[in-house]
Amino acid sequence: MQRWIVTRDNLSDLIRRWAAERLVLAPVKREAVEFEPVSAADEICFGYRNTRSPAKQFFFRPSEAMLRFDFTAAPEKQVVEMQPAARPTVLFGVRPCDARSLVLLDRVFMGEQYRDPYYAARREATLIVALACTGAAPTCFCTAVGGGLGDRTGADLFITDLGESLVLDAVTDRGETLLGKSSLPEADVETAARADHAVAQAAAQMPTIASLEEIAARGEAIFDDPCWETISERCLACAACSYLCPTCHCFDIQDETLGDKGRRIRNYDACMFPLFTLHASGHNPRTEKLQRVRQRLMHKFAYFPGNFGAVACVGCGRCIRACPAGNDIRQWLRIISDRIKGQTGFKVF
Amino acid sequence: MEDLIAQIRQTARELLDQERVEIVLGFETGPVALRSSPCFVRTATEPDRLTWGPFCGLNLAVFLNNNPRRVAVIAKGCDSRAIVNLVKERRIVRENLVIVGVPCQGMIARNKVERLVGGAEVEQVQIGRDKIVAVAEGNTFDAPIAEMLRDSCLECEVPTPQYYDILLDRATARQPYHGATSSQPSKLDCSERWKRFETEAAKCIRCYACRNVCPLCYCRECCADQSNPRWIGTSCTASDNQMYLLMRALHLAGRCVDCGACVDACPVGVDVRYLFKRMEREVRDRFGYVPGADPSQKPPLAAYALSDPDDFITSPCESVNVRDRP
Repeated sequence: MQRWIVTRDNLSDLIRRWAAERLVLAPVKREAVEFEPVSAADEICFGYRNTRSPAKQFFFRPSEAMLRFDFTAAPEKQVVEMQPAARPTVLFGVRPCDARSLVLLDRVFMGEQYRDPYYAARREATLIVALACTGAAPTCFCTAVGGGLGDRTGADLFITDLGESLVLDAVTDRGETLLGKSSLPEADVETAARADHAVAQAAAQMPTIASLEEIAARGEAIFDDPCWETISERCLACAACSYLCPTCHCFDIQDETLGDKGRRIRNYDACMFPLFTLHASGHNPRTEKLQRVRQRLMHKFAYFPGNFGAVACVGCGRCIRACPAGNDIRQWLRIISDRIKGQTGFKVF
Repeated sequence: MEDLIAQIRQTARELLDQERVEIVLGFETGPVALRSSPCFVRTATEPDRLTWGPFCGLNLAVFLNNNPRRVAVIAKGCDSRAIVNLVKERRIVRENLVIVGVPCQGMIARNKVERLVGGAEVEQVQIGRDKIVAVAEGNTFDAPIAEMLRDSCLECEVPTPQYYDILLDRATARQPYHGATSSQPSKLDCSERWKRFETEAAKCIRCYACRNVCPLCYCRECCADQSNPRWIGTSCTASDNQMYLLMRALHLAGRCVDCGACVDACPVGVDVRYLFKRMEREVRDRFGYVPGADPSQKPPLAAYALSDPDDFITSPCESVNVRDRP
C-alpha cells in the first residue's frame, strides 16, 4: 500500500483538479453536516463525526423513476424506460462506516443474480475517498459490527487527517488512477505511524456489544421469545431509523399517473410500516409492531448474514440519534444476545 | 427536580403496590444526551428507573391509544391536553387511566441545541439555573435556557396539567413564558410565505416520525399510507411532501395540542409545527375552541352554534380576503 503526505495546499490542488472533471461531493457544514457538491477544499468540513444522511442516498436514491408512459403517444413510444446515467463523481470524506455500507449494498444491488442498473451505474462512476475517524461519537459502535475507525473496506483512497497535513493511502487501483501522476511526497515512517496511532487511540475507546456470530447463527431460536415485547414496546413504528440507515435498502414501486401519462417510480420503503407486507389478498403477515421490529433486527443480524455473509449494520449510530422514542439498537442487541445465551437474571419488564 | 423525581417514583410505587394500575408510563434516562426514553414500569421494585427533566419531551399520550390495561401516566401539561382530546374522541378508556400530573418547566429543543453546536453530536448536556452547557465533539457551548426551549414550550399557556387524578409538586407550577416563536403571524407576503412552506416541505424524507409521535394521529390507516386509491404519492417530490404536511395540518386543526413532539422527532429539521399552530389560532379565533383545555367542551366539528361564522361557505371569496391577514 502506498502512502503519501498531502499538505493543505496539495489538497486544494487535488480537489480543484477533481472538481474540474467530476462532481465532487463532500461533507459541508450548515445546520447539519451533509454531503454537497464542492469545488474547493476550504468548503469541506473535516471535523465532524458523521453526516446526518448516509452515503447510500447517492446510489440508492430515495426516489428513482424507472419508466415513463404516455398512452396518447404512438404505440412504440408509449413506454419509455429510464436509462441509467451517472456523472463521474468523487465522494470525498466518507466515514469508514458509510464506505463499508456501500460494499454491503453492492451484495444486494450488484449481486450475481440481480443487478440494479441505476445503482450499478452510479457505483461504477463514483470513487470513494474515505476519511479515518480519530474520534467517535457516543452513538458510534462500528468496531462492534466488524468495522473500524481505520477500516478501508469500500474506499478507493483513504485519508487520515493530522491537522496540518493528511496521510493519503491508495487502497484500490481506481484510487491510484484518480490521483494520477501526482508529485506528492511519500509518507515517512514516522508520519504514517502518527496517522495510525491517532486512529488506534480513538478505537480503543469503542464499546463492545454482543456476540454477533451467535445472533447470526442462532437468532431464529428466539423468534418467539418474550424479549421482543420489551424491545418493541416503545418503538413508534416510524421510519426515521430505516431512512437514515446506510444499509437499509427496502423499496416500493409505484405508478404515478395523471390522466394518460405517468411514471413508474421506486421509492424508499421501510419494514416498520404496516403496509410494507400487506398482500394483494388483504392478508398481512406482520400487522403487529412487535413483528416488524423483530423483522428489522433479524434482517440485519440474522437473515442478511445468512444471505450475504455479513451483518447489515455498520455501527454509524444514526438510528440511535434519530429515534424519537430514544431506542438504542445496541441495547436491543445485548438483550437478544443474552436471550440466546439463555442467561438468567434477564427480566422481561 | 430531584425532589420531583423522588415524588414520581414514590407515586409509581404506591400505584403499583396498591394494584391500582399494571403499568406506570414515564421516562427513563435515554441513550443520547438530549432525549429521555419512555419507560414502562411494571413492578413496584422498578420505579427507580423513572426520571424527570427537560428532555422528557415526547408526548406519552401516544402510547395510551385504546389502553386495554390499567395504566398510570406521568403527564406534563401537553400530555394532559392530549389525553383530554383522546378522551373526547373516545380513544382512551378513562377508567383504566390514572393521570399523574407534573408541572412542566419547559422542554429543551433538540434541534436548537444541535444548531448551537453546529450540527455536531451532543455528548453531554448540563442544565444550570438559567444556562445550558452542551459538550459536542470535545467543544463546549453554552446558551441561556430560554433560547433552547422548544417553541411550543415558549408559547405554552398551560404548562401545569389542569386535568389530572394526582398532581405532584404543585408548588413549582409556573406562569406561561409568552415567548415569541416561528409560529407568530409573519409579516411576509403571500409568495414569501409560500416560499417558506416550500423550503420546509423540501427537507421532508417522509419517514413519518412526526405523524407517529403525534398522540392525535391515531388513524388505523393514515391517508398518507393508503394505496388504493393513493391520495398522496410516496415520492419525496415537492408536491407530495407539501400534500403530506398540509393534510396533517388540516387533520389536526382544532385537535393539535401543540406539544411540539413532531418538531423534536423530525430527523431532518423540518419546522412542522408552525402550520399546526396557525391552524390552532384559526380555530380559536373562529370557534372559541382550544384543544385539550376543557374536557366538557364539544370539538368544533362535533358542535353547531348559530353564531358560527359560516362565511367560508356563504361568501368564500370575501372570507379568504378577510382572513388573508399578514
